[in-house]
Amino acid sequence: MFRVHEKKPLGFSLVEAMLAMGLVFTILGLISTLMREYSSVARHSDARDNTFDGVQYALAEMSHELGSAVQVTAEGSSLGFYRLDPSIVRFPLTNQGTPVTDFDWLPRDPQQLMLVQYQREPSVGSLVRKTTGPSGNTRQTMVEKISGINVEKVKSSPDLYLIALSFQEDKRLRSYSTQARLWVAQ
Amino acid sequence: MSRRRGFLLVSVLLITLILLTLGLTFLGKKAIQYRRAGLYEQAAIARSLAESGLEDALAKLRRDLEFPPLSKDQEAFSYSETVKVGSDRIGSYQVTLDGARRFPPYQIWIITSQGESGGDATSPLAKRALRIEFDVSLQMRDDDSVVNPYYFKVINFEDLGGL
Repeated sequence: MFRVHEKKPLGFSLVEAMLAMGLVFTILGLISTLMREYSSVARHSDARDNTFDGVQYALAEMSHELGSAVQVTAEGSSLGFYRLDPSIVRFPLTNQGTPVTDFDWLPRDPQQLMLVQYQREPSVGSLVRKTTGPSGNTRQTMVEKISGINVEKVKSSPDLYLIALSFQEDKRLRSYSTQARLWVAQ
Repeated sequence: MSRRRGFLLVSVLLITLILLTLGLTFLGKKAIQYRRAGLYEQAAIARSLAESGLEDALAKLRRDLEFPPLSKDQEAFSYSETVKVGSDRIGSYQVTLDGARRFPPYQIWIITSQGESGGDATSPLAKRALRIEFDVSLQMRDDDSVVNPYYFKVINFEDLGGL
């Protein structure tokens, strides 16, 4: 009596294994190609978003601060104005906490004003805010890599300014603007 | 047979895991962008509400000689209003008129307006405060014979920022 044993295959055949490996590598290759493209686009988009956020922040700051200008000194390719120095004590008090009454008080004393200037530094393309006043001088970079700044008075309104910032995005020049209202009577 | 199924299962799981990780990362980035855009919007609404409060106080001061209703010893007057579109609450503003310096030599009102955005009054999404000085001196302070050109005008403005 002889028994014929049919051996069941325990693993993959060479062809099956190669086919499976080929499929896995193809899918991984596709994913990595797509990821490389996506990360390149994402990096570019992040850089653009950062510039865009910076431009938005700078526009908001300029528009808010221009509201407190008591005299606008420069417009066009830069913005300059005088405002009260916020660190100055403007309402003198006695030790008892009651106001001194025997003095001439000026609401906008020239000694308490500071000059604020927003301008683009052409060498690096940054928008810089500089202040010169009684509490000292400061310099602050608001946003980097901008192409230009333009400030002009809105002709139809006595107290509105249009502030625009532009930056290079790929091959396009994008420009964003906001309106700023002068709250203080000039 | 079980060894073959196991091998395929691991491969499929690996690829699914990679795709899932990529998808979640992408969604996470988008969620942050949406949240940031929402915060910008709420901050802008809060500032607009604060401006509305200032305009409201100025309009009342210019039109109503009895406003604000202060006794001689009283120094400040405060009020707030809720802004709605239909039945939806947009936010509110609170205005404080500080009259401690309404007499010489200052003769100014200091008006502070705080705007709060959001549908729930107890937990605002953004806040913004603005302050102005309003001139009520009829003559120039250093020369009584000259009429003050800034009479009943905003002479100083300050953005106190988000609180």
